[in-house]
Amino acid sequence: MPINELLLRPEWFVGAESVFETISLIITLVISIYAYRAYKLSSNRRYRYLAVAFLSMSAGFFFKLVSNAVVGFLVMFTEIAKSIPILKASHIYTGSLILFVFFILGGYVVLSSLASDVKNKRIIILFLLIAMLCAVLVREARSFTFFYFFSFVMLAVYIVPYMYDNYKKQKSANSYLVFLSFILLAVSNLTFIFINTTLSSTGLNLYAVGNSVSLAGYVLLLINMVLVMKK
Amino acid sequence: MSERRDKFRIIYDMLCSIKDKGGRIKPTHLMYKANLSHSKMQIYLKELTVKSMVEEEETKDGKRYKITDEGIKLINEYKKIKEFTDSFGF
Repeated sequence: MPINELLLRPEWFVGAESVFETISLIITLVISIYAYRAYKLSSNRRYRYLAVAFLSMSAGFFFKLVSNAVVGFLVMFTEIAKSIPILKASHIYTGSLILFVFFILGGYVVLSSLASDVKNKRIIILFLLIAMLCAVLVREARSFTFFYFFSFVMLAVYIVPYMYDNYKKQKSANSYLVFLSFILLAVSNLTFIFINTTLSSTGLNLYAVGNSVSLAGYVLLLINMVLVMKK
Repeated sequence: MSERRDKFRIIYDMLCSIKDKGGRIKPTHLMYKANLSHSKMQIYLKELTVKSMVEEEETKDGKRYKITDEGIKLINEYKKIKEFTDSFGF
């Protein structure tokens, strides 16, 4: 399978996307570290799961950056792959995209479980299996639509309503920022769903729009962190 | 019904009780202000003393507990963590 055929996106956007993903990786990692610190101090398990959710998302962004690096430095990755029998640069590309999908969805699954207070491990395993299926379908069906759709469902059905209820309860600027950031993440996934339905250049440009909206969501989470640390 | 306090919250309440009393407090006052039983208070005080957040002092009027800089730091840290976790609702 030729490189860059799996992911429908405008070629001009690959560099900017890498910058967006690096920023998102750093933000999710900072949140994960802080949530883990909260867990260590309080021994509250919910904070540990919050740390796991954001760490999983960081791992997702890391693998997405690896896939972008394969596209950007194809010659180098081809040489690396040559040193290992049966490995091709396209394997690294596809594998990293599958891991990207699985870890991002894994993060949403943990957040959804926290938001809906799911304690039944079988339900969480079921969600993780669906996440795995979406990841496998990236290769088998050459489509990210399942990934975007499942992400959108978890955000719109579980996470955003929970964050809205929390905002109504807290009535604080911080909870509003978090609520708004998850709305933006839901909107970005909704935008991505339409990429495959319109294969024109406008459709491909939706990918850049969706990524920009997603970045805005993560930046709002960063602003929330900055406001918390300043107090 | 009031929510059950976790360990972190209890320690925060104890440290705030000492701070609100000007940095020093009698054990009985601490027990009432932090709403703890005597045995629970002793367990937490031991931990706070080991972690150098509280110091025990002997005065002519009896025993006092004094908050340290580490204790003040933990109060500020708790406020930040509370703000952070409240923003996510967890």
